[in-house]
Amino acid sequence: MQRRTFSFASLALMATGAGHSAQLADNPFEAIWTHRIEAGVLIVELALTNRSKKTVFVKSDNAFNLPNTMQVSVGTGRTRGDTMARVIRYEYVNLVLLPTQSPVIQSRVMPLSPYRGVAAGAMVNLGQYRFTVPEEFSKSQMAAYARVQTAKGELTFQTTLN
Amino acid sequence: MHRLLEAIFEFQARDLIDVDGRPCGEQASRHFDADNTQLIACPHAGARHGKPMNASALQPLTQVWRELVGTVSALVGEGGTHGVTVHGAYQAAMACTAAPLIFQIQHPDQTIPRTLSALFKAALGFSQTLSFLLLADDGVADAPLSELGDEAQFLTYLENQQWLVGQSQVCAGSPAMIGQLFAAFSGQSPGGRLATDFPPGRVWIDAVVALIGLQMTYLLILNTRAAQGQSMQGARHAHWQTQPHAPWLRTVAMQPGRTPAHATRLFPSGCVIEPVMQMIANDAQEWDGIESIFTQAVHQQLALIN
Repeated sequence: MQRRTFSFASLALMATGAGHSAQLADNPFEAIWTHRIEAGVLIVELALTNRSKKTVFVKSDNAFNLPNTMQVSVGTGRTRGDTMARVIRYEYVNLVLLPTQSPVIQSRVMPLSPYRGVAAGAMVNLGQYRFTVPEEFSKSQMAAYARVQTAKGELTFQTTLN
Repeated sequence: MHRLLEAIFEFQARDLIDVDGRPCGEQASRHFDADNTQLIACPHAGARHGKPMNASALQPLTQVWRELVGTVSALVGEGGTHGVTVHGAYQAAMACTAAPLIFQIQHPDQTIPRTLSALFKAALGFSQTLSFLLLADDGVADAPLSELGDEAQFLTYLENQQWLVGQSQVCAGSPAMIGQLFAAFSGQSPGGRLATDFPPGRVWIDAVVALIGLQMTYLLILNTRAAQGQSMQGARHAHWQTQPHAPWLRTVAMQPGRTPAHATRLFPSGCVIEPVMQMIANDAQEWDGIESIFTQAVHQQLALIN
């Protein structure tokens, strides 16, 4: 069997911007972002609300069960802000600060029950995420990105934080 | 958990103190002494320019540089027909990062020699980069490292992928040093000899690489199940699963779409160790089954080291 050939360029960290997310055509959710800085720590909060205001039933066999996987990342928005996806542990969410320095600048694991507070209701609180932002980023336009994996596909949400 | 196993999985080599009084892992260690460390603005071009760089760690490293490069060359050997493979280089990098731990087991009353501490520091970045390269695609393990590119292309890769910039400090190695080490890891600096203090034998190296392969497999299965929202009942909840310090574990979650089967990429084709195959084959089963294979396999490997 012929051996495959590789190069550093071909093995570079995959840029997963356009085309990576299988955005649901009928995305029923709307993201509500809030953010603030306390003692140099950027705190991003994210909640989802379903536009129809109908109850979102969260069951494992529900089309919109939330959230099996969850990523929130913060970057400058200038380059590949959502390059990295972090695998999310059960009841935990990994947080990554991106993107202009090393592949993982900051990684945090915080408790997040996938189904907590989501049994029935129009809003899903997806928790609070803390990033210590390097000083040189503070003057940049920053953006936060979130990915939520559902049974039917992946939802992505983005907001600017300036 | 066995003390040695915990030390490897939790990357405790970073806390070992060397003859210069410095922890092997420098800032990553709990024993890092900021008052005894000179941070300077990085003079090297690129993304790390002007950022904090640990000059105190670099100084002892330069004193044993030739010995260090010679040890890496000796570890990788000449490789096969086409040269040292990515897996061969990865194995050498893992040996360098584990060497202080093995030395401490063999010489519990001695501090870590400067050469081993320097090897640890110099190989740490390589261990992360090489494990990332291995996981990137099927067949990379069998590819000669030099085929991926030359020293200049490797440096470009590091720069473009931001591998030289850490959370609060940058890599202190000069481009020339990184290039020399790359040449050594890819088998292009023949004639090297192992440092005098380097733990003898190769059995422990194979065992360490197998243990790390098992650990990464376990984490890949765990993470995949987590992503699918499956129950983790019965899984162990070690610190290394939620707050991994080891650089090789970071690469597991660094890219989307990882699956348990990707663990086979850590090994050359036809050389995947049996417990890894069994764990992958059982990844849809109850945790007890995976746990049983994992526990038995790690103890077999530990017995080889002891």
